Amino acid sequence: MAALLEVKSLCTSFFTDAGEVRAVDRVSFTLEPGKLMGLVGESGSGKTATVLSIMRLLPESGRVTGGEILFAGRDLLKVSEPEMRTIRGAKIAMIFQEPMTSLNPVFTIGSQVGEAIRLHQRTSRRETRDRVIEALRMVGIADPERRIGDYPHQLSGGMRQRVMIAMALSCNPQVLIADEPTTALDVTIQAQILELIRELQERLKLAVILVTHDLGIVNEYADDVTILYAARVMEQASVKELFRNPMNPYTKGLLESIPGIDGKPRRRLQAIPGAIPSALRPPPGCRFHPRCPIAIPQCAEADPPLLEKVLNHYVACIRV
Amino acid sequence: MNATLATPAIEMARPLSAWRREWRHASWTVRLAALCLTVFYLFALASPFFAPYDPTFQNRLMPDCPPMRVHVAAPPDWDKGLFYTHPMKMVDPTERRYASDPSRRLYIHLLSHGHLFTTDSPIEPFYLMGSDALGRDLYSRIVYGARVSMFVGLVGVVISFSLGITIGALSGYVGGVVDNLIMRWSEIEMSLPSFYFLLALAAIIPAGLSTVVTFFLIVAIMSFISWAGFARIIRGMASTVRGLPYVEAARALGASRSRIIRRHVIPSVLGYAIVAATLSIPGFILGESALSLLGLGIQEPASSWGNLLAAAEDVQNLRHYPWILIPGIFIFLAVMSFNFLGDHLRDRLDPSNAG
Repeated sequence: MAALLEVKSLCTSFFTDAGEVRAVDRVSFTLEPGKLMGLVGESGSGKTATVLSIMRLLPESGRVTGGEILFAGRDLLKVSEPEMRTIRGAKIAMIFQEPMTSLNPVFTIGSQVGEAIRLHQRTSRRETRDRVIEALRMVGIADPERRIGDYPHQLSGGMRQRVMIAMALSCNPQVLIADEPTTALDVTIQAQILELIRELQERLKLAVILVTHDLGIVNEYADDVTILYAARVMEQASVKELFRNPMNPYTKGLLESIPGIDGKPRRRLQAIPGAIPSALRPPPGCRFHPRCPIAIPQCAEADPPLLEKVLNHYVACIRV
Repeated sequence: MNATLATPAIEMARPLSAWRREWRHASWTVRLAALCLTVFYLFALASPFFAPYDPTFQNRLMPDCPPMRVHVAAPPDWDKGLFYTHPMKMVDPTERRYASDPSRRLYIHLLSHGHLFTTDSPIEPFYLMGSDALGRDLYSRIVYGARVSMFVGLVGVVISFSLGITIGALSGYVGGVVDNLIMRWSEIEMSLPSFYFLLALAAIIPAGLSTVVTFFLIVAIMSFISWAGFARIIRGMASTVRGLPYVEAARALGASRSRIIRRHVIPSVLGYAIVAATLSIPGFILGESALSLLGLGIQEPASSWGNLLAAAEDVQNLRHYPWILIPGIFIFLAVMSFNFLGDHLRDRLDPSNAG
């Protein structure tokens, strides 16, 4: 199937007093309709900067410095801001980490979901109300006719995230970006929300980018996965392939540091030694080489290109 | 809650019960304040009803007459009137001393001739609060004066706060160069010495306009320069709101800048704004009386509480005719009422006190 969203060597920098910080460095991936891609990385690896670049919602200090973001054939980096507003929400929607604060406390949830609909479509009040109820029902909120009059503080965290999803999907977008949608929720609710996203994605043929630092979530819900480390893509493959055959030493390290994903009982968890490098002064060559167990001197010389080592399995490492 | 989602705004379901609930939450001072203000605004809106006489009618026979005492009639006389007073007669024209004539009764008719209370003729009047040096009924002048005094604050606050909210929200939300320009401009305005500015304004406003129009013009201009301090506070709040997740979420949904300002920024500062507005109305009322004292306010024969009180600046007058201070009591009550109400609103709108 043709790619719906294609990110081509995207570069994004933050310009701070201390200098230019490259948050996203030549990141590329493609997203197809009906697929869920996990975007995985540690804090500060550039996951959020990548998706905010796609939405063109970077904070003032941030700027895209290179690359292309092709959505349905158009480069989103070149469209005007008013035109971008008609894409945001209507074509590409986003949900955020904090469901507790992502809803305005002074309006009812009905009015906020309604607002999301009326941002992009002219609908009558009655029609809006019907669509709001329908959207709330779709995300599994019981008794939506009564719930539309509730204020955010009357709902639990999981319910609020459902409302956020309802808002995001109310205009039938083609792409949904979920930026760590479950980090603020407790574990049982996490599973419910992810199930919901997965189910809606299949039903509505959505293309989803799921930003997370949790490989367990990726293993369970994603189709494809892109692993970021210090602004660079380290490995890219389908989930099945990646978990069966991780090739980049960073990916291997990640998999060894989490329990039970490979089903092997009771082995010692391995931590990756060291810490994520400063984005202000990244190490030369491969960003991971100071922490890499199999690094050789050449690793410090050149940035390894992302190469297709196996069919549809891309790895950036000169040692594999 | 089976009402339809009529508007995507805060639902104002069953306003009556909301008012009742607010009343229950209010302390007795706040209730008193609300009552006072209601009465004063009724004075302003229905002056001809509340005032027994024409505020400009001069009864030359009765200048500086003291307030008259009200007596309750005995039941057999109720067909003539429930209350009566003994008519006053000037006994010493040089000293303007009065004596009441206990042998005669002047009946006060309630709800007759389109007034709350009145007597048969203004020639033989009932002065509830005495009369001024020209024999005009002070009470009637106070009632008509409420029109100016109670609305000067509203007009001033509406202008300065709508400017302040709009400009402050814009400045805080948009930020950057716009913010910088607006804030520097507001600093210039705040550094203008407003009293001299007013004196200058009074001089340049064309003389042909009626005094009330002139006065409201001055108030309007005053509020045009007084938005600055308020805008700065709103700006601070707006720039906080700008970073909140729900604003980010709104942008991710494709909301435009003006829409976010209208939908998210302004509602979030409105609570503060309402309190601040209520608390700044007294400033306008007091400002009006200060201007009147200088002769810049409402000009005779029109009345306002400020220019009625200006008559009390003469100590001789004050000593002989102490009732000319009564307008001051009205100013005091209005200012206190707004302060109590403002404080109460602040407590009620503070989310940590939500009950």
